[in-house]
Amino acid sequence: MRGYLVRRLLLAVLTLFGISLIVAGVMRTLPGDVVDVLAAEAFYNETEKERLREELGLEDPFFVYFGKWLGDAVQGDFGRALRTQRSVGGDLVNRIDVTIELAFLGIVIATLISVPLGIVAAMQRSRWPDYAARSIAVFALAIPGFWLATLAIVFGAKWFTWSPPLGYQPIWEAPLTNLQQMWLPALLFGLILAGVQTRILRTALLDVLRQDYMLTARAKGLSRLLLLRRHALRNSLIPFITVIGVQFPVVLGGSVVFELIFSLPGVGIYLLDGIANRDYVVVQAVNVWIAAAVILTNLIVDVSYGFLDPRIRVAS
Amino acid sequence: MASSTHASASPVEPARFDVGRGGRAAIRVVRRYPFPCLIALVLLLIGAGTGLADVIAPYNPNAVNPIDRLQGPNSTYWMGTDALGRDVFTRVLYGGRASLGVSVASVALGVMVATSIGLVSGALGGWFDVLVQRVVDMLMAFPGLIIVISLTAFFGTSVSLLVVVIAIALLGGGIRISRAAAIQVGSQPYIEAARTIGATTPRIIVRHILPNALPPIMVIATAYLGVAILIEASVSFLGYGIQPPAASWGFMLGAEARIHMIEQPWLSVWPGLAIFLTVFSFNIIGDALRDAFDPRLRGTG
Repeated sequence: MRGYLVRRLLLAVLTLFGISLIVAGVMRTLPGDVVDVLAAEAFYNETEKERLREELGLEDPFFVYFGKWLGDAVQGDFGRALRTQRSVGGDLVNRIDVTIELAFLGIVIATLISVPLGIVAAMQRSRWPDYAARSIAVFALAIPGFWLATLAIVFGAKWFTWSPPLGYQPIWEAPLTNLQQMWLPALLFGLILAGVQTRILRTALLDVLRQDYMLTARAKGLSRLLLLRRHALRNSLIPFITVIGVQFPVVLGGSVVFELIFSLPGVGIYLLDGIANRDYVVVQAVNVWIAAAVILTNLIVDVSYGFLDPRIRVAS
Repeated sequence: MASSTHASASPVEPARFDVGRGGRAAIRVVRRYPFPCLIALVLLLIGAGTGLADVIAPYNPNAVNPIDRLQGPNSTYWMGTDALGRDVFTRVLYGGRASLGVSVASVALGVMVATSIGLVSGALGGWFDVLVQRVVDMLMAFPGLIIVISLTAFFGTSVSLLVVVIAIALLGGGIRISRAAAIQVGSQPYIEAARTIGATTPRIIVRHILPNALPPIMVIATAYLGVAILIEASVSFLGYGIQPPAASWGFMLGAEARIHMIEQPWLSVWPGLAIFLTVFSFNIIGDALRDAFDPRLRGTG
């Protein structure tokens, strides 16, 4: 188990290094001179342009620039936003709780929907509850999140004269106001995410139900409920947790859209602002942060396999 | 009397069409999978409607007509008009052409590149495979939407760039699927047989592994058509995809249009419905293909 953990950790660090290299490389090959664009907008003169170039490390060869960036990043310094001159690392820390809360609530709601649906579908295979659950899942899979959110806002305003509250409040300062703002985006987000989760859980459960040990358990007289609880659900946990891991990038991507529509000041909005300002310091940092979050989630998922399934622990 | 009726009726034999082998096979498929066939018909209609937008659309997609602005659906404008008085039905058709074009092109590009890399990686193994897997790990760490908006915003918003960037977003998953398929096919006895009679590795990959690994790749390609449409729509919604005044489903739901949706809620309905119907259809076809290729999985998805 320990060797397995160490190997996974090393691999994660290596991947993150590669990602930082790729992102920095892409940002350096941007067409046109970024400084010229920025300078034209801010009416910089030549000396100021020179200073900006120097400051951004654009004069250095790529690997010197990357080395500096990485050295600073490891210490938590992701540079200063070109427009606001604020610390990008600080901005991200201030905004990450919004995105984490939205992602967390979305996944919780998706799980609350998909676990009952998946169980009913697998246990009642090829009967009407199965078809109903699968139809819901395929519908959820095909609905664009931004459309569902737009409809909620348009028809909420039209029929219930309700519109999403403005001015975000952090959950530890004003929990009630926060939840008033979060419940709808989280619910819609959860509905969208539940599609994939239901399908995977159903497939995983069906897979387990086909196993010989299920027949044995049934033959020795275990009730269907006990069978489900003791054997089927536990063995379906691995594919289910895998899918939550695999879905995590989707969650982060979707969060951008939900933050925009419900004006929640999270990392997604920060990225959109960075893109609109052509602030590549911000875009670079956000991309690396998001990739790091995904890698960390995958690491946690991989490690949890070892806890859930002793066979994986031993095999490694 | 009776005999004359009989005589006049007898030459009229029940019409018999010789549908041929292909026709009989088609009928069998329709009987067996009625719902997916219906959905395939829907997709065909969407494809024809958007492809022939020049012929079908009742108006010019960019014709501004302020007098008729923000109308609900009526007999003149089937889906109503937007804030500039443009016909929404026409713009949904043209927008569909853009969305479908971009997603088909990006899936074709992405799946082709992914399959080439994945098959070679799975078939060769060794250091190349390890390298490819690490690159896939990195690709998979970026959410598709975030790669696409980050790159299009900086490299400019042209349609061909959008296609390439969406293809990149699909690459990681595509490589993973085709590599797994290559490994599974590679362990079959007929591959060993081919190797024994002296077939070269490139020949084995192209002639033996590729055709046998194709079913899962086609399933993922169909599913990716839906994914690509969702990415394209989200990017256009955010304003970094297909640029106005060209119509696109995503942009029709975007920030500019949202201002007018309280006045005219229909504006929020049609483009989203079009996206939903198209993606839904691709998903159903993908599921049906998977069932057809692998009967063991029937009804498991």
